[in-house]
Amino acid sequence: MINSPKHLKYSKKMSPWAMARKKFMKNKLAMVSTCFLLFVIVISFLAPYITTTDITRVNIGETSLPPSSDHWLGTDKSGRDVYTRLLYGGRVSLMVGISVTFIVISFGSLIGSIAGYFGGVVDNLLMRFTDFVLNFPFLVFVIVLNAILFGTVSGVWVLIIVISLLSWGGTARIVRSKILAEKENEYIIAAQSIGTSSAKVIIRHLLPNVISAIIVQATLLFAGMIAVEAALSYLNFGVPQTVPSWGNMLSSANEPDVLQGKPWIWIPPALALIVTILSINFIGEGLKDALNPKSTR
Amino acid sequence: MKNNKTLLEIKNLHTGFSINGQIYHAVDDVSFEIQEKEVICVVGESGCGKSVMSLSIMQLLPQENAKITKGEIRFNGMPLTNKTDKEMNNVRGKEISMIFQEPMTALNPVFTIGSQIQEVLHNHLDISKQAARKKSIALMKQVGISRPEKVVDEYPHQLSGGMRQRVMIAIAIALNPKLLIADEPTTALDVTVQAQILELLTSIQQEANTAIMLITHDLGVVAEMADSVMVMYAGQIVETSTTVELFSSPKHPYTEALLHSIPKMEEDVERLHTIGGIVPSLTSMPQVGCRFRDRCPKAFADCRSITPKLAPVGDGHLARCLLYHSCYPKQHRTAEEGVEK
Ligand SMILES: Nc1ncnc2c1ncn2[C@@H]1O[C@H](COP(=O)(O)OP(=O)(O)OP(=O)(O)O)[C@@H](O)[C@H]1O
Ligand SMILES: [Mg+2]
Repeated sequence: MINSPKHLKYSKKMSPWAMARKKFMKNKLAMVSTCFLLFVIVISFLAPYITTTDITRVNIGETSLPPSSDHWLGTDKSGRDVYTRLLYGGRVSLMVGISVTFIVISFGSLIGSIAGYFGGVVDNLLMRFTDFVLNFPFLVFVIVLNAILFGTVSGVWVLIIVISLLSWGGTARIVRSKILAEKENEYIIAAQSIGTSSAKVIIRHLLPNVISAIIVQATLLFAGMIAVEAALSYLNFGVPQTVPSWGNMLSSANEPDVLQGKPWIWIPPALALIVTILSINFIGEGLKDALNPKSTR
Repeated sequence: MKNNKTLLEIKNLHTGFSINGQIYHAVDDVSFEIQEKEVICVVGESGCGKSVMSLSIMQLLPQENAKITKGEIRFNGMPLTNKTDKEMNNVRGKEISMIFQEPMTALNPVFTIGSQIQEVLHNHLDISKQAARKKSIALMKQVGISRPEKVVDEYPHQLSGGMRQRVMIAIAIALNPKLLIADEPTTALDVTVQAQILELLTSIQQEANTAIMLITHDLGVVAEMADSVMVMYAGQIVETSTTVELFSSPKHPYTEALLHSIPKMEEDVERLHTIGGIVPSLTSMPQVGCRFRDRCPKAFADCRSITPKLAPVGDGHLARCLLYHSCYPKQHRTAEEGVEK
């Protein structure tokens, strides 16, 4: 137990979770980032109610207009409103990020905790399988799987499924190693010694104690997956061109005249990406700090 | 005590670890019985296999590398070794409970004390949340925790080591198990708290008629608590008898050495007797002869070539040492006795 004056602020009466929450709230950068991210998420998902313009409408008469009171962020080369597309694009980028993170964390934690808890043959088999998946060349498989799945699943979900299939390995490895270390604690054998089933030991005792690692991993994944979506879409291997996403919007910067002369077309999605990814990383840092057992227990 | 019913019966128990593809036995042919309501102490140095033996009884050995390779464990006549994990879960915490050495780490840091006591109730009883909470508070009162209504909502880090060990005991006795295995329950606590915990265990044993298998390094504890004693060395029982008998006439040189190493008030700390050498590791265990011979002050030639067996050396007193003729294996014994006559 730490009794330095600094830690006395966190009352002994609090649960480890309450202490972590209090610590996180004290972290200004993380709190500002959280507010910003929530703001981005809310306006992106409310895009259809905030904007009135039709995102797919191509307006030949209004191509590449600079920002004005009609078009706050101007229009792109097809005459579509950049502001509207930015909001809708955020929706797609965030949805890819959130969905992939959710699937990867769930599946990776499942595989990792089973492998770590049971050990032996189970562990061996699952980890060989994980290594196998991790060794896939990512880009090649995204392109191939995208082509195979295209048409059977609608637009964005193709990408979500493809990226998820290829990305859970890292999480599985991290969760496994955390579980391996955590299960050495006497409270695990103590729980088993009172007749608690294996599933309950994993869910009730092990996962809550490795959840900090999982949460931090989730923030890293979330930021990473938004970047991956942008990169793939930029390379035209991501979401279909008809669906606006930050990556798709960026790909118009391919053309030299847009890059040099029409910054309003590519700077908004670029900024949105950078600031969003940065804020997620700040949140991750804040969580890591707040959940660090050494400073809370 | 002897006229009681047998509660736990262990026959030829062999528990092995697989190390580099080979199996080494950390518990090597152990047989003993625990009677109902009996307090039996298991003593021996670190690495003798005491914990492995208690985990074998609970069937909680590390799955990846440990296994009971031979032998039988019967509890109330019912064999435990061939039970599935699910069937064992009905025994663990209800019929047989365990208390561990490290109260600091034996409680889950993220749950309240109350919820950890209630877990054992929910595992075995169909009981409502309120009833479980009430029962957990009553249990805490029973093990001498003051202000249980408050402690029930506290977290492990708010409690002292002694308090946590009381909580562990409350969990262990929640369902009145017939057997309590306590693996060095006081080693991690300071001396005054040790005495209180032992007192608590004694009162539980007397009030609830629970048999206790107490694993300890401390012969002082043995003298105070035990009805009978089992001395283990290198995975085997080397001597077993009633407590009074063992302390008054120890037979095995290892037991003598252990008794000798208890610090006495009148002696200087510098003159404290320790046993030279260490317990052989699993991989360097002698295959033939006595396992204690290299550290034994009374070792002689036979100790290298003849493996002693556990045999009677007195009334209800077994030992495994070639100083006693009964411990010679059959083929050697006839020759030896012939020489003597
Ligand atoms: N998981 C394991 N893998 C390999 N060997 C093990 C394992 N656990 C225990 N052993 C070995 O089994 C033997 C007996 O260990 P055990 O823990 O039962 O000793 P102990 O008598 O309980 O000692 P202590 O008094 O230190 O608790 C030791 O030689 C130890 O090295
Ligand atoms: Mg031990």
